[in-house]
Amino acid sequence: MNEKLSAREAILARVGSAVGAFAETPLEPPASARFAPRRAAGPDAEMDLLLEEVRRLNGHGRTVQGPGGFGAALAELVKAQAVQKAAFSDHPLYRRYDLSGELARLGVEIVPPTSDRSLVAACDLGITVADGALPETGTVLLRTTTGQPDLLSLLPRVHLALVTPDTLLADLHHAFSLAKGDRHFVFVSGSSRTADIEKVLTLGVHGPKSFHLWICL
Amino acid sequence: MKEPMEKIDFRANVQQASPAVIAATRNSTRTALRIRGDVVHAFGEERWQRLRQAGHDLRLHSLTHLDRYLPLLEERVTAAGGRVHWAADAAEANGIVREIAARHNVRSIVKSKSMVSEEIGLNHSLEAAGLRVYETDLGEFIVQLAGQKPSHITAPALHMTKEEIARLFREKLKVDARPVPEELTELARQRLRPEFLSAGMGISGGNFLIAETGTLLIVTNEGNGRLSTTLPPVHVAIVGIEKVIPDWESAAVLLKLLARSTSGSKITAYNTCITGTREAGPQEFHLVLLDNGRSRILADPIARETLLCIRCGACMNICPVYNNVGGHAYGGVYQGPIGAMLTPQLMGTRLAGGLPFASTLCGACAEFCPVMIPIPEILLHLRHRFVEGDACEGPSVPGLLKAAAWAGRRVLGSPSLYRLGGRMARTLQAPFRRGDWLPSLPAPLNRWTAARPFPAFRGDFRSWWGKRTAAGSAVEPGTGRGARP
Ligand code: SF4
Repeated sequence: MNEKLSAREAILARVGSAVGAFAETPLEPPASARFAPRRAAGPDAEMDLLLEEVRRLNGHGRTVQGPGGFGAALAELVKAQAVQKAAFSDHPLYRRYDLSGELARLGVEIVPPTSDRSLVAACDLGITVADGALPETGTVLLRTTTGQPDLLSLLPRVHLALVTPDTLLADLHHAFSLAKGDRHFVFVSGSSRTADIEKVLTLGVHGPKSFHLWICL
Repeated sequence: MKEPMEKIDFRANVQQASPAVIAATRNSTRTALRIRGDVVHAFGEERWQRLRQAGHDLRLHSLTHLDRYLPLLEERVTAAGGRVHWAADAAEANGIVREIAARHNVRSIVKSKSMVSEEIGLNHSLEAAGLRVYETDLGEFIVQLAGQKPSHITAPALHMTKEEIARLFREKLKVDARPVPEELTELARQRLRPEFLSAGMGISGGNFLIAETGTLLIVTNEGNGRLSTTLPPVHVAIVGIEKVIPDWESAAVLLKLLARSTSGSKITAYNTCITGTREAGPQEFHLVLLDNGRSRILADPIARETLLCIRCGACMNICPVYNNVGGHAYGGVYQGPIGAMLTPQLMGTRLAGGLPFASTLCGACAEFCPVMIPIPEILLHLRHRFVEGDACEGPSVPGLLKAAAWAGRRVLGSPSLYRLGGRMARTLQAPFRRGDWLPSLPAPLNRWTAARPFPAFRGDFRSWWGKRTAAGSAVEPGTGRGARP
C-alpha cells in the first residue's frame, strides 16, 4: 500500500487537483440550481388529475366508495383479468374492506407475500397500498417494507394500487422528503413498458402488464 | 485502459452502414422527437428553459465539488451497509466484479441496462471467467442475441426492424416468432423470467448517486432494473464517478429533465431508490465507482462539461449526422454528439481522435440537451486539442487537418470572419444544391458526400439564434455555459 496509492486515494487526488479551484466555494448548490415544486390544486381537481394521468399511461384509474364499492370493483377486476391467485400484505385498509373475505368469495386463491418468489411470480394479481401518489404524473410511491415487499408490484401480471385521498402529494419534492430516509422505495407510473422495437409502445415487459389505481373514498 | 481496443475509423464505418439501417434509425428518431416535442410543449417552453438551466447549474456544481461529494457518498453508503469499491480503469472494475462473483460462487448473472458496463467490456470479462451473463433490457437482449453492438444509448436495437428481430428470435431462441412487437416482447419476458429468479448476482448501472443519503437511483421503464436489483442475493452497481449529485432536490430536477428528453414522458415508469442493504432484499450491495478517464476530463475546464451528461439520447435523435450514418459509425459505446465528445476523451486520441470531426457543428444538439452542454463548442475545443497534439495520447492527425484546424481557429476566433464564412457557405453551395441536400461536393469534401449527402446550409446559427431569443425564448445568449474558473 505504501509505494502504490490505493485506487481510492489516486482517484480522489486526481479529482481534487482537477477541481481544486473550487475548494473554497460552499457545498450548498447555488439558488439557480433549484426549481420550485409544483403547487397542488384543490383536492377534487387533484384526484381527477391523478385518474386522468393514470389513463394516459394506459392504466385504469377509478374511485371506489366504501366497502360496497370496493367489493363491486374487485369482482369486476377479477372477472375482467381472469384472476385466480392474488398476493398482498397486511394493511388496515384491507381489513376495512375485508379483502381476504371478498377474494375468497370470488374463488381467488390467496398467496402470502413472503412465500417463495416463484409462487408470487405465478400470481395474477398483486395488491399494494400506496404511501403517496403524484397526480401530475399518475404515480404511486411504494415504500418497501418486509410487510409490503417490492415484488408485490413487480412479479404478478396485474398490479392494483390503492390510494387514499390524504396521501396525494403535489410534486416529487414532497415525496422525496417523505421517503428519503428509507433504505428502498419505488415510484411506479403505469405498467412495465418498452418502445425498444420500432418505437412501438408495448406494455408488460418484465413487470405487470396491467396497472390499476383506485382512489378509496 | 488495459483492454486491447481498435482504432475507430468513422469514415470507413459510415461506408458500411446499410440504407435499411439508416431508414430504421430515422423512423425511430422521428417518433422519439415528436413525443418529446409534445411533452416539452405541454410543460411550457419558458418553464422548460428554466428547468434546463437549473439542471445545468446543478450538474456543474456537482462536478466542480466532486472531491467533496464522493467521500460523503461513500460514507453514507457504507453507513447503510453497502460496500464501496473504487476502480481507476476498466480492468480494475472488471476485476472487482469478477472477484465478488467468485466469492459467492455465482454462475449466472442478470444485468439491467448500463452504459458503463459496455464501456468497460464487462460482459466479455465475465464470460471469459466462465459466467453466464443475461442482458435483460429488451433492446440490449436483442443486440446481445444478434452478437451486435447497441446503436443508440437509450434504444439499443433502434437500427433493427421487427422482421429482423423475429427472424433472430426464430433462429436463436428456436421459437415461432412473428414480427409483432407485443409478441416479441412476450417471448423475451418468458425467456428471461426464469433467469431473474435463479441468478446469483444482479448487475446494474445507476442514473444518479445522491450524496445526501448515499442512494443509488435507477430509472427504467421495463422493470428489469427492479428485478435485477431485488431478486438475486448480491447486487453490484457500477457507476461513473461523475454521476454523484448533492441531494434529493437535485434528483427532482434531473428526473423531470431525463424522462421528458429520453422517452417523451413526464416520468419514467419505475424510479427505484436503493440505499445500502435492506431486510428481505439482496444480502450484499456493492457500489463500484469508476473513473476510467473521467478525472482527466474534469481537469479540462471546457471539456469538463461533457460530464454533465445524463445519457438521455436526445442529442443523437436530433443530430443530422447521426440520422445519416446510424449509431454504429461512432464505433464506441456512446453514439451521436455525446459519443463524438466522450469517446475520444475516454479512449484517447490515438484510437478515437477522428470523432470530434464527425459533426457539422449545426448546434441542434446543444438546443436539445436537457443540461445545456455546449456540445459544438466542446467538439471544436477537442478538434483543436487533438490537432495540436493531445497531451496524453499523441496526435494521429494528418497535416491537412492541422492546417484546417489552424484556419478554423482563426476564423472561429474572429466573429467577423466567422459570419463572412457562414454567408459564403450559403452562396458557394448554390451550384451543388439539390433541394435541402448537397448530394455531391468537390474534393476534399467529396470524401463525405461519397457516402452521404450533406444537408444544405439554410441560414446561419447566429442569426437564427438571435431571432429566436428576440422572439421571447427564456434563454439568453451566453447563459448556456456555466461558471468557469
Ligand atoms: S449530451 Fe445532453 S442530450 Fe446528449 S445524451 Fe447527454 S444529456 Fe442527453
